[in-house]
Amino acid sequence: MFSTLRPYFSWIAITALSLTLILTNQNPQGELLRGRLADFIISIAYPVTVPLKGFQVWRQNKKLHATLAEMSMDLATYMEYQAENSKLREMLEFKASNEYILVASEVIANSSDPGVKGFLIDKGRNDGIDVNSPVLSLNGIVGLVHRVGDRSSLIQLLSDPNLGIAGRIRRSREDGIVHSAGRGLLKFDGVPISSSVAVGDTVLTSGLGGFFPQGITIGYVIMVEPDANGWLWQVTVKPSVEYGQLEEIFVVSGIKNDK
Amino acid sequence: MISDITRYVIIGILLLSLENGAGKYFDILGVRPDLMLIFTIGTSIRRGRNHALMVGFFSGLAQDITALGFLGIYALAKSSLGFWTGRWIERREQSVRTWLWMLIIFFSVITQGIWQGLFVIQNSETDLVSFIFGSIVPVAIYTSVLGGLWALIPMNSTRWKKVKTHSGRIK
Repeated sequence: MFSTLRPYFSWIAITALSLTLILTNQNPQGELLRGRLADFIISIAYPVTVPLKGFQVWRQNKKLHATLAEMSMDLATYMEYQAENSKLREMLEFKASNEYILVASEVIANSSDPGVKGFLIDKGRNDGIDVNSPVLSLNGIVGLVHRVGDRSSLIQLLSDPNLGIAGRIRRSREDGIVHSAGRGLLKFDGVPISSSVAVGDTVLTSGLGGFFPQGITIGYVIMVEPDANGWLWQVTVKPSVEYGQLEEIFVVSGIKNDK
Repeated sequence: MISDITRYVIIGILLLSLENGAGKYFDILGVRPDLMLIFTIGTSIRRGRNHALMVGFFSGLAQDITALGFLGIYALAKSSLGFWTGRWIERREQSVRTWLWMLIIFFSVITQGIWQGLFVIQNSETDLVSFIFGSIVPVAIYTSVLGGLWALIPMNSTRWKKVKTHSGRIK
């Protein structure tokens, strides 16, 4: 009996160890250890990215110069609006809106995992990042912080099938839930057939879920069709963020002021 | 054995760094190859099941750490795939040709995907079939093609025919 099983002992032992790891996943100490190991992987993967980053910086620099010129023109207009806005707010005795503390971070390790979408960034607990902190990029919402190490964090992307966020159509103010539709697209669910949704509409975060700040771009509606029962719209959204090409992101680590 | 461990650690770290740090350069329409699986299956063919078991376990564990899923999913999948592929190869009398090598990688990615899918689809609306065809089959094709290209490099294809089994037999 034992001699027959002997060649398989090593496999049985490794399988038992793997199953133990799977079954003890919710253990907080295990999560802490996982965060530490992620810190280690960050430190060994980082040198590989350095030469590649040099080329990216050069390419990005050219693009940023053009954007900067456009932005400086927009800024003049916005400053006028801001002055006008604060004057009107004073007249109406409105509270100033919240400002978020953003931690700029670099994407270090992209997960090759085809099912669960995420990546590692080079900022962690030491930088004030916590689990469930929202993650943004210049183009819109990216996802949530899923796990935190001291010097790294694992980000769960909006394209992950297990993440859903509260969204709103900018034009018609219709609320719904946005989640992955697979193949890099998103679904905007819960919109009654009587509501107004059209191709090209912008979908924003509604802030209703409590995790994400309000008014950040999620994506653009690319397809609208009634569901099988004819009660709801099936809305397909193209994310405003190219998840596979992200290099720099911002993590919301808190609120700056609440006057 | 020590030199083997050193070699595996170096190759493992290089592949892990490449997969994580430069993964987006391999990205084709959102699909990325599973380099660690090529490493594991390659080890099972060249060095036998026990080496592949350890390589699969540690490379899978490293992938588990950088992924969002349960810790141990990849470790179990890769170690088992490495072990059983190694065992099958050891019993086979003929050498492994490139097409067979690609086919083994293809089915290994599919098997790993089915196992992973059981966990991934639990809280989502995706069903296993669409998960496999939408997410796993493209990865399997890409990984097997990449594995095939690697095996076609003259240096590798010459050495490929000399498959050393765990018992030390050269085929």
